[in-house]
Amino acid sequence: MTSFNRGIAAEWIKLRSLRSSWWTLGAMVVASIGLATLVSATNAHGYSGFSAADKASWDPTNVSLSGTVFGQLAIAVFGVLAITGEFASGTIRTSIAATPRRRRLLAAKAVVYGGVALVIGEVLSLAAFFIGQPIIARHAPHASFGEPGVARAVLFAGVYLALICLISLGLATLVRHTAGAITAVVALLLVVPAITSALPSSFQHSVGKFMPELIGGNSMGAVVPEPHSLTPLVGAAVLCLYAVVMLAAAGWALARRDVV
Amino acid sequence: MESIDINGLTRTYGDTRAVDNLTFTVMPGRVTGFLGPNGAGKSTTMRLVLGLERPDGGTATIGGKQYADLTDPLRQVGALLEARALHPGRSARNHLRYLATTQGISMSRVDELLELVGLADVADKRIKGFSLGMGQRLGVAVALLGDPGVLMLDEPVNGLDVEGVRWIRDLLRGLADEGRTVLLSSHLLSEVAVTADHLVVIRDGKLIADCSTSELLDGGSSGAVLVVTPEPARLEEIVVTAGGRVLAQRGYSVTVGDLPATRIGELTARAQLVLHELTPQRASLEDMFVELTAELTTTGSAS
Repeated sequence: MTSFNRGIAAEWIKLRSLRSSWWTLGAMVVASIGLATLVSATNAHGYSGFSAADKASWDPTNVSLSGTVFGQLAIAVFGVLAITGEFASGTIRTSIAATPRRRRLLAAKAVVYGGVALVIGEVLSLAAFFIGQPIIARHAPHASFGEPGVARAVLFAGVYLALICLISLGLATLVRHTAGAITAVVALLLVVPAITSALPSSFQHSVGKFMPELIGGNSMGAVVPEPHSLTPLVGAAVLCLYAVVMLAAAGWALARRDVV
Repeated sequence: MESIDINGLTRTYGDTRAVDNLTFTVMPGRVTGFLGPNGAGKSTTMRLVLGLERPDGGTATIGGKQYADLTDPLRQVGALLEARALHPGRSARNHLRYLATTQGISMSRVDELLELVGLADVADKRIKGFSLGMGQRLGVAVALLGDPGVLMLDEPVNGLDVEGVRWIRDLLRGLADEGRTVLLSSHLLSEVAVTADHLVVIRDGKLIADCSTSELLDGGSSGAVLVVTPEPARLEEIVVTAGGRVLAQRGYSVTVGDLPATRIGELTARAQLVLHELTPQRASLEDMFVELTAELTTTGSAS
């Protein structure tokens, strides 16, 4: 085994050996599927009263993926704890003593935590879709997996969660403290888009589409295109770019800073 | 086995020089005690050796290599930095397992170490419930995991009971006898004097003594004399002219070496120098340590 592969194996042991990992992931699964079920049911119930415009933009796939709003927060916490847990406990000293090439340590974490987030994200998105559609079908038009764009939207919703995990890992490596990092991620995901939506619509339309949360909901996880949003592929590319930039900055900071 | 070579090492935090142009070598085959009061720069020096911090000047190498350039570093250098560099939610066994995995060390070695440090019975319990002493034992297991030739332990006896202290002394003695390089830090001289063959003493980040333990102990009781006089400058002149040395001076108190008390009495009487006190020193280990690390005007008896 190369030393990078051993680093990945070690991160996997670290992840598995902490209960907090399982709690975070468990919370994510329960909250996301629960929320997806709820949103699917209420939206489908309301469908008959929708305006023609709302009916035209009805996107049952997107509705069944609504749990992502919660899921992204749980996955963000998962990504944050991957590194802040080490800073808080002092394990980071041991980890760096074992792997003095610190970027390699961060890369191994990104592979393991990003990988787990991807698997869970996909399972979750598929589950939400297949649980949500029958509920929607009772009162409104529903989507089937084989229709154009549906499989892509469901799978991209899982990819979205994995990328959020990586962005959170990078941000947390820069911030180093759990509470601060979680605050920063929540601000990035929820507060900034909220502020943007309060600004003049021209600004909203030009900037809003680059917000991670809106890339997830309106681009990657949508079948019916939303106005003023990026196409799914461009959205995914932009989010990948965010993750790469964030991890590069994190690697730079981790390699440079003292570990006291 | 490799030596640890500290050369002109300097590390500054703001205006404070935590480590100030430090130079010494830790040789294989013996236990080197690394002494200094709390805040003297011992831990910083160790973190600099491990590459956790970067020096502002100088180098710290192991067998001529920077720590960061070692492949599978835990197989070459074992360090115990702080007891609580452990995640409270993880078990002792899992902590050792992930570290072993990074270095390609077998899982049977993990079990062997848990047995050796006496944690086999609690290996699967979360570290959260460990006492300070158990944490230290796990820290020792981490240090020994890669069977390294170089060991660095920062205050390892902290939190250990009497039995634990004896255990760690015997362990370190045995490791040094096998030819390994052992650096053992403490702020208490009595703690390391029993185990260490060699002593490196620092204060305010500066080297104060680098000598064998017996040299230091002999130096302490070889007839240093405490002289109190209102005219310390004249006393120094008299002492130096007569071939003696001023080991330390604080205010009116001057510690003189290489001259017996009788001779100092005669010389000062002849020079009509007023003395308030003339006391041969029978320094205990602790006194000597305090003396060594107190503000010295000269380099003292050890160099």
